Amino acid sequence: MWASLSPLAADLVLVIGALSLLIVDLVLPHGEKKVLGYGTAGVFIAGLLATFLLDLSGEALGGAYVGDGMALLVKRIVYAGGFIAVLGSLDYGERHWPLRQGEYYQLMLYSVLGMGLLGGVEDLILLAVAFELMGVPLYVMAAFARKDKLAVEGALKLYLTGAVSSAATLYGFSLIFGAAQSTRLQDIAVAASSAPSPILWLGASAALAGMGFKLGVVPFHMWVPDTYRGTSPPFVAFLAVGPKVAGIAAVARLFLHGETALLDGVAPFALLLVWSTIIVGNWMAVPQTSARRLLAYSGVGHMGLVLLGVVAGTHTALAAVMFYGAGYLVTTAGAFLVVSALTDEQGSDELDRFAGLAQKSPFLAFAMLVFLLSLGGIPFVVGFWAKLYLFLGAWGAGFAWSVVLGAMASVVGLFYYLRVARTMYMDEPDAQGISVDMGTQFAIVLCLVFVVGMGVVPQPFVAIAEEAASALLRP
Amino acid sequence: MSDVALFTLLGPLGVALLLVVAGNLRRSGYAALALSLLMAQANVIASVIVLSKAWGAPAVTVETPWLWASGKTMATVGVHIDPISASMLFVVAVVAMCVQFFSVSYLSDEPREGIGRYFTWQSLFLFSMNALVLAPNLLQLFVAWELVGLCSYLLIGFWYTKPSAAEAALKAFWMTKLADLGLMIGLILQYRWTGEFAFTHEAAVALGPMVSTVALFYFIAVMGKSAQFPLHIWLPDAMEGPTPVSALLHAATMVAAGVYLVVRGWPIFELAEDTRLFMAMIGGFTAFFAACVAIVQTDIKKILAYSTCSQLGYMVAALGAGEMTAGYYHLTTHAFFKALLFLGAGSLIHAVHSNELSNMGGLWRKMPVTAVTFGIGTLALSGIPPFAGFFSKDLILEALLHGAEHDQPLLYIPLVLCVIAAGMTAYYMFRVVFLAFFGEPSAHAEHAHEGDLGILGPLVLLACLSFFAGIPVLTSLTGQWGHAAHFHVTGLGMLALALALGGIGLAWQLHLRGGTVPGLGALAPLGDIARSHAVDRFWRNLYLGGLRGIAKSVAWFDRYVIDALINLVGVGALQGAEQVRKVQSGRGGDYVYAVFLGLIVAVAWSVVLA
Repeated sequence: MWASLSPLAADLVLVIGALSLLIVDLVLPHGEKKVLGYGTAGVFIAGLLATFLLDLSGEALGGAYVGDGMALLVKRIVYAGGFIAVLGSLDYGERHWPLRQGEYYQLMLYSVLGMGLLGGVEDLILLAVAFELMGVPLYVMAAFARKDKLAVEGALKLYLTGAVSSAATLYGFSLIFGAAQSTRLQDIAVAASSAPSPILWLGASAALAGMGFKLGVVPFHMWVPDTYRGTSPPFVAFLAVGPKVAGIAAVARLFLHGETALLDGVAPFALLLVWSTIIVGNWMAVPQTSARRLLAYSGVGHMGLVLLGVVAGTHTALAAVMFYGAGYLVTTAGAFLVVSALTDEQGSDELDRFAGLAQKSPFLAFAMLVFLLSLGGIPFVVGFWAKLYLFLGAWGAGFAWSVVLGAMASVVGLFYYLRVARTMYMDEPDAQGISVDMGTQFAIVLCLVFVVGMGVVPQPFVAIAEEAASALLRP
Repeated sequence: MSDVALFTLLGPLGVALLLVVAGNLRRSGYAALALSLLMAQANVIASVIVLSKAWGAPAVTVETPWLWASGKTMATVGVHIDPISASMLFVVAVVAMCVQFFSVSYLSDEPREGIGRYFTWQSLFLFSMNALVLAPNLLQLFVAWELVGLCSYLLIGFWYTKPSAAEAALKAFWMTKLADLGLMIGLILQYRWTGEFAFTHEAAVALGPMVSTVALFYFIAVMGKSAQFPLHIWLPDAMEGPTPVSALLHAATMVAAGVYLVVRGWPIFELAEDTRLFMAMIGGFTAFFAACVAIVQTDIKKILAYSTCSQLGYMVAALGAGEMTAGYYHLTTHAFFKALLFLGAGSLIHAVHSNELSNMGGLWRKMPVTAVTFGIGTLALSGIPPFAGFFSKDLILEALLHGAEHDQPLLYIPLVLCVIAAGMTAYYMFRVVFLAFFGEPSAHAEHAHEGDLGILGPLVLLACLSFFAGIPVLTSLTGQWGHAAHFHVTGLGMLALALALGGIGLAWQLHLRGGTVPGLGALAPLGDIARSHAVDRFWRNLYLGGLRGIAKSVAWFDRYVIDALINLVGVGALQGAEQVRKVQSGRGGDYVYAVFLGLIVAVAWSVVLA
């Protein structure tokens, strides 16, 4: 039995770590709960090490999970995302919910566990379970600042739309099962090409719609700005990245499984989602005055591009999606951490609060500038390669007009990203210095290293992304 | 040779990175200045070595794969050294060194922190520009292209406390970024078609029927970078930056990057005949239009900025006519004499603390070196022999005439525009000379005096180059690039010269003697048109209005159309969800409806499919 669990060794590290921390939490006296944060960070590191040191290949859970390149890459990305988010929460959690830190980190570990599984699901049932395992803790974490009305409202919106979307996903899954007579993704892909039926397309569309909620695809995006704006700032750095990468991997696994027949069936609907997401996300970001709402809408726009890569359905495009996902994670997590540090200090994330940040905290301003440039796709930071690679992949698959739309949207993106940069560097500061706690600082530096590193030396990361794509599609 | 070329990349980059990382070194100001200046000098020496080795030698390419996907190389970095890139490397190096020297005196009143920042960006720009010039493929060129754009943004906004400077920096960045879309789309198209980003003849042939389309997309980016009508409007505003920056980026090197892209990608443009005709038309019109606008400006830097647009128009027109060497040759000569004019203007502005011509006057006694060198630059720009501008402009006019006579009669249009613009150029430049250096000194000019050696040295050096870049090297230089050009005395050249002399005479009559010319009043409405900012307004409305408008309409659509649809559908089927809405404050329910809307589209799609 243990042998068949070996592909899940890294996940088991997370489970064992989470359970141990649960016990430690019980015996820790009040006032020392911060240790749990360090412990959680350690668990993520241990999980990451496991993905590098152990052999995680092979099937597990009777073939419902497979440890291929895609599974491995997603695990690494989301564990790293978890690690960064923990670092950003250490100080904040200690100050805002000192006694409940244990619960917070427990929930985070379980959510990441779910994300890690999504990279390698081979079965609809595990897909549904892992999706919920990822999602349910997020609802609770969003409402963690329970006395903050905005946070609770944001969490409720996340929960309500999430519940409806889960229903849609499960409804879709049941229709897919009815049409394909199997819950195995492999069998479903075969059924889609050999025995296509309207029921199958209906199921696939409903599933895509439901899963699109997690990605923040228009029109399932409406929770995104409100929840990001309302909930506790360091949590956004978690919510905005890991679930997106895991979600897109799950969508890719369901729709691109050796064959693309299932995708072809829903392609026009998916393309409609792509277009509306790119347009609404980027253009709605323009008039925003809150940094988190701005980044939320811009994130929606980025998800449109990522989904475009999946819809393109070629090996290159899928590899580009995975590369984009990794780059998006470090860039967006970093940007939200900067916003979090600023919001925490000044009590608001309105853009005018960024005025003169370059003088108040040159470090934060520089980091934010790099992240904004990456989001805008300027060379020598990861965003440039991610965009170029994705555009090349999508164009190659025949989605020329979508690429043109995406390229135009990225120019619009520069419009609002540079507005933030200008405020930081060119306006006069209103208040004095900003202090950033060590954990957040370290996390931001880590993000910076990857954003610049992947921009200057993209090759190793592209190679990994290609390997991940090879798990699903032939090159 | 390639290691020397690599030095021109890594040296300035190293300095820039060091200054970014070592904050104390940067803030000390003078250390940053010394480092940057030393590197600029070393860069000149390196560029001379590269040019001498590349002279007459076959092209050398050293590249290393940067990114490979699906088993094949996608991006490489490296250097491509041939007489074309080596010449540009030399031009950039010389102008950059002159400008950095000049900046030392020009910015001596700035706080030390500002000086450090300025020279950090200067070094970063030098690296980016060299990377652009030496690019062995169009992808590296694109990467460097974006970087010089970023440097331009940073340097225009150097005086960021001035709102107009900050706005100009943003305007320049957005305008060029909008145009860069063309380059990006062109690159993707080319990669799809040929599987590489090369600018070789083979790559151009492999493009087959796509070659005109790809070239057109590239040209859109050229229009942005090289300030061609109607994307030129960012350039005059960019004059908000320090004057040495205008000399380096917005006169000699960065704006010329667009023309350089065409020269580098010449195998592609050579085959793209339709696109070249379009280029010739745009270039000719820009040459004429910008000259018209320059005539009515009163700010010396704005005049020079419009003049740059106009001269870039000449280059683009020559390229459009199919004569690459003519266009490229004008780029080189123009780089020297326009940098000279800008630095001369900087010297004047430094002396009188104003950009307005009305605040100058009678300065030639007080500033003789500036006056003489500015005069040389003016003669060169006006196309008066024996200065370089005469020969390069002559080659362009010949190229247009040749093209019009032999293969495309439509080329007579840009030819006529360019010939008329030659007369206007002489007029507006001599207007500057007469108003600034002659006549009665204004109150500002009372205490003006000549700058120190840091200001005068670069002026003299560039004045010499404005002569030597002309007839002494014309044939040998163009021969290195391709088809060797020879200077002939022709009727067309004499006509242009006569028009230029006429322009000088008109300026003399109007601005030195204070006389009038009968019938000139009839032209006043033309001046009003040129003075109006119609093109500016168009773009501002498009950008702000368009962007905000689209945002508003999307928001409106979100709120009313989607909402209305949802409500319509919701009446029957979504009673249950309506309850949820009551539980929540209100808008949360809408979000759930939105999810349903998506589902309904999904279902509708499936039904259609069935």
